[in-house]
Amino acid sequence: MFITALTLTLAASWAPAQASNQGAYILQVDHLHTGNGPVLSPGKVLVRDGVIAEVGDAVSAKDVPILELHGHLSAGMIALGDTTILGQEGADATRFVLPEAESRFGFDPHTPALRRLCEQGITTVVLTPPSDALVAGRGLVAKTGSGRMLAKGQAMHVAFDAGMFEDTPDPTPGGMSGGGFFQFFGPNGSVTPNGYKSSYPGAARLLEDAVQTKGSQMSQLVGGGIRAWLRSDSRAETSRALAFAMRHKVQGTIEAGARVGELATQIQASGLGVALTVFRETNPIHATRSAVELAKAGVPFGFCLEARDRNAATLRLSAALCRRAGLSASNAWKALTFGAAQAVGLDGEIGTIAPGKDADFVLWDGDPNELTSRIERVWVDGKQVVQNTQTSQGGKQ
Amino acid sequence: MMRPMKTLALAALLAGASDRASAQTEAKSSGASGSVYADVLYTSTGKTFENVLVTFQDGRITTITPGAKVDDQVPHGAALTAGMVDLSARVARSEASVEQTNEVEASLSVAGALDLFDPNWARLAATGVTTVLASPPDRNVVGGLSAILKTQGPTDIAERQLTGRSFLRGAMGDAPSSGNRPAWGAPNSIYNRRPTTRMGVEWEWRKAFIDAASAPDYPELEFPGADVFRAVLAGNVTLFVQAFTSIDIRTAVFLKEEMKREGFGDIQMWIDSGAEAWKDPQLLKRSNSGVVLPPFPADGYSGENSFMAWDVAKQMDELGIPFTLSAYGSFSLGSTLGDQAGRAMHGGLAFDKALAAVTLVPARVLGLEDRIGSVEVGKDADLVLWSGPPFELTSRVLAVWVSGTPVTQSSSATR
Repeated sequence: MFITALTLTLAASWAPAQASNQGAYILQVDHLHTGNGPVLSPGKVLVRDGVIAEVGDAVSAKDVPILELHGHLSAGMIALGDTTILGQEGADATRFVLPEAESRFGFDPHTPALRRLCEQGITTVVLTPPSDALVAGRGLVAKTGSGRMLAKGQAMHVAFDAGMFEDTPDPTPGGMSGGGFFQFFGPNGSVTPNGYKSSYPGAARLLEDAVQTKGSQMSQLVGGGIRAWLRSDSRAETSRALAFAMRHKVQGTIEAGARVGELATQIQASGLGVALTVFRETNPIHATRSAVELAKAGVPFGFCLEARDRNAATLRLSAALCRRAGLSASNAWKALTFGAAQAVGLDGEIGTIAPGKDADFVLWDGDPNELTSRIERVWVDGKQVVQNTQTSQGGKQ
Repeated sequence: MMRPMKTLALAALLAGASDRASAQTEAKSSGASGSVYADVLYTSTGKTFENVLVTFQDGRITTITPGAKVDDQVPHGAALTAGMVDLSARVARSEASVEQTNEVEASLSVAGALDLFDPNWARLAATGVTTVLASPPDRNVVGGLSAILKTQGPTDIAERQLTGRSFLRGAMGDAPSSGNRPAWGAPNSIYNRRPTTRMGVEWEWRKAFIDAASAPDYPELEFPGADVFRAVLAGNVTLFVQAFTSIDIRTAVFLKEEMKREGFGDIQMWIDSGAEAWKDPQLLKRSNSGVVLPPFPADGYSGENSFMAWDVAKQMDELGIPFTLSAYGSFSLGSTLGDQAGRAMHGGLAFDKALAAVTLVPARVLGLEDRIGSVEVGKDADLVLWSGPPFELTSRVLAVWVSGTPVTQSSSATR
């Protein structure tokens, strides 16, 4: 709460709010894209204390200012699985299993990286610990406009990918590959004082022991007491993560590689959401096909973004590439907004323009689904945080 | 360990229940059934049939009809054999397939580390290898339990794995001792626990066996995986030890004999990659151990500078030492398991012995001779159709069926 208060002050300094600082106002736009509902032309939305109070074509309220704007209003977009914003302070590498760690204590809500996301219409970002540990602790979900963290966003991070073996001292001839810090400064050879493991079966057993320890943090993953973020890459890893989730009725999100679509049916049965890997030069064909398969199977999914490494606009480009592979426009939009919200269990808070949800909006000069459409304004929690002076108010018609 | 595995299987089964059910019906109606015609059928049981039509249904061989008429609709080749079995297939595994933070890790299975989505499985299957014993890589002294699986089938390990004998995998020699040194400097601290010599490797083995055998009386000696060692001593789990050189084969045999002498138990042992089994064959024979011969080297030198000529298979046969051949799971032209059998023949081994060494003998080692390893009615339809005499350099594999499902071009080029 302390941090939140601080960051709200800072957010205000980024862009002096025009519509209203707090309190209530009505936004009236030419086209209001509710998300998984209709497009209202024109449409109005009543915002009260940062939360959407009412949506419709004839919304009115006493003594509430109306802001008339031209263009298309949509919900803010959601980026998943960012490890770059937290940086080294977001993960503790000294233990292989550290469920008590909380990334929020390593999170700088003032980081300019959030601002860059905000300018591209991304109002919420899911931050994952940049960790090579088996259990890295809890991640967080932050609003880009303010740094505000969502209470329900603290998923427990569990690794199933080979990245977790990178810090394990490597007893190969020469011994210089892998190993990292502990190779040189810790006890040499194959001893791992911090409990690191070197193999999938070794890590799997450790994980099994952890969730079966009664009363432990990890045991709360069973049955969905704590949401999980299961990090995987290859299909084999993803299917191992799925088996783990099914075995313990874990709820949460599975971060998966480009070929995850081949497991879409099994994922659908597991009830997990999917964070689709960052699109890279090497994987876009499989990744886009996977998006189509996930949509077909009815699996909620969104796209990962490494915000410090890649332009925030690539989130929309990922969705556009998926359309090329056959993903419908509505499903592509869903992956950018409420599909991503569903994938991380925040569909009650964000993702669409609906009463009760956070007032996160983007005002576009055209259809939000068109790559040529530009962002004019962005609101986060009811506060306008971006106004693009380079586009003309009124938009292309 | 067993309980979670079962739950896993059940959970995974439920996960893809509908998907898999439809896949199976599909397989039953088309994929897992069919027929094949060959000029000669070598059954691996010593029988040979000519102009034979073999039909199979639901993954099992249903009829074998010699003297049948050629049917244009049926795949036709010069020779038909059983699918081959490689006991030392090194495929779809990585550094992360073996737990190296313990020198002796007997309680983990490589099953949890195999990548069944790896396209190399299909490439291996296309060479005629239909069943493998997959073992953890030899990076520590005892790597864990091996897994038996078909080269094609469900991508769920719980469904893919075959239930036969259990194998505890480990190594003698310099595989687990080489490189276990700090990044620089001498291994001069108590934290350098891992063996750096063959003596150290042997010590780990003996200590594990003796501790495990003594733990019922001295509970402080109990360690994770000790029960697996006790199962090995009881003869319920086969010890599968990599030992290329004669010195390492001797060490393994002496260990086995010591355990028997001390009254701890009679170990069932198979030597993997016993390239120098020919050097002290009487010792091997005396120990009742079998040997998996590594791929025949072109220059005479196999792993760890062991020397191995192409007549080693013939020598093993003449001495009556059980042996099988391995290609390490290679699918490269000229070094497949069929090619290894060809080299063994070049070294003087008779064709039927070479065929047995890649089919029925390894099937028996796995305890699965009722299911695989020969072409008989009721057995799995694991079949290889050859363009000419099997194992000849001029012959190639025309078609392969794994449990009645053809290995297709598309499945061998999935990446």
